[in-house]
Amino acid sequence: MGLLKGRATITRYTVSGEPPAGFWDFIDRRVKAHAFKDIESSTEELSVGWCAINDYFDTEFAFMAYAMEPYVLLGLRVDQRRVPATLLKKYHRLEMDKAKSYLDEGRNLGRVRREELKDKARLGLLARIPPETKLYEMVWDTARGELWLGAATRKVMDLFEEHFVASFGLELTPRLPFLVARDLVAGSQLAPALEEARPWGPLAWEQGA
Amino acid sequence: MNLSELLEQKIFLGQEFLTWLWFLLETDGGAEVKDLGWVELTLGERLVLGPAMGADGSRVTVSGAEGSLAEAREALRQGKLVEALRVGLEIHGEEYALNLEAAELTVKSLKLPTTAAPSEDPDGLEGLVLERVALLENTLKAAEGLFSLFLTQRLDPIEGPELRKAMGQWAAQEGA
Repeated sequence: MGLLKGRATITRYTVSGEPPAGFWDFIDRRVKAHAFKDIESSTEELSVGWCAINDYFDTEFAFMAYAMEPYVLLGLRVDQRRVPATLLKKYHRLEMDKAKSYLDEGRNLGRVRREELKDKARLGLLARIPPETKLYEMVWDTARGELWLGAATRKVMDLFEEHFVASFGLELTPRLPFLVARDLVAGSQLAPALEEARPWGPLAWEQGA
Repeated sequence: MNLSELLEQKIFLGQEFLTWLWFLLETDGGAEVKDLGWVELTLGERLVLGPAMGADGSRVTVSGAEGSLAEAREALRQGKLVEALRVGLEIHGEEYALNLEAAELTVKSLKLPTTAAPSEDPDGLEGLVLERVALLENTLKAAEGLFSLFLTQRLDPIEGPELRKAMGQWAAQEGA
């Protein structure tokens, strides 16, 4: 599920903070500086960065194709290697058996050594497991300071929020119902009523309320 | 009171709004929304009811089938409010459908009117992207416009109590 294809899921944010003069140059510099970096031939577990909204292999951003004024349209590419617990257990055991074969009979591996061997097994597996790639779409209306993320899970939102703030130094606030309500009634006579509003509770019609 | 406490205290707004949406679509069938005109509403295939804020109780999840809807109405009569629903919108003759959840009013599983297939041509792509963005805008405008209508009535010192009474009477109807 994303924004531009299929059924969409939208998490809305308000972007606040003062971008510097020369906004589009600033955006271009920051997008390129925080573009996705490949971890295919490494043992890194996680890489998060910007890519083209319609192609996660495109991290060059030729002709600023992501800029469709007033919108900035980008993909957040997240590559992650996951070591299945069962595989780790197997290879940890193999490493321990190998290490034990060098010990005198009756001696066992200490806790620290066992942990070292677990790390070794884990690193060996990370080098052999390719990362899984996911792309999350972002549409940022820079004129209104509103941003949509094509995802709604807490984990993705955390990754996105952290990367956005690190990239642009601007603040992101999720548009939760009360904050939307506050914006909608701002300056009207309903504003104090919103602050004082209490839940209706059960509609309690049976009690004649 | 800090912002997170305030947000926690006002979480009921989402639940009451979604319950109002169900009420609205059954009583008026839609509403006049700013910038969009008349928005026709239909109940989708999913309805989740839960206890009102501060009350105890379990959740009831039903599909839109006739029998299940009766179960949802019974839950409503027992004092539960809507926590999530799927709703259909007709805007300018085009059909949209989306899931809304009370806690964050996040739009999920949004089905938009069909657009042309994606194109390899960059100019074509830009046109399609902007068309899709415009459809997303329409949906969010409709959701926010409806929320605004709800707040206008809910927070008004005269209309608010009247609305609550009308919703109570609607909720009490057998199999309405």
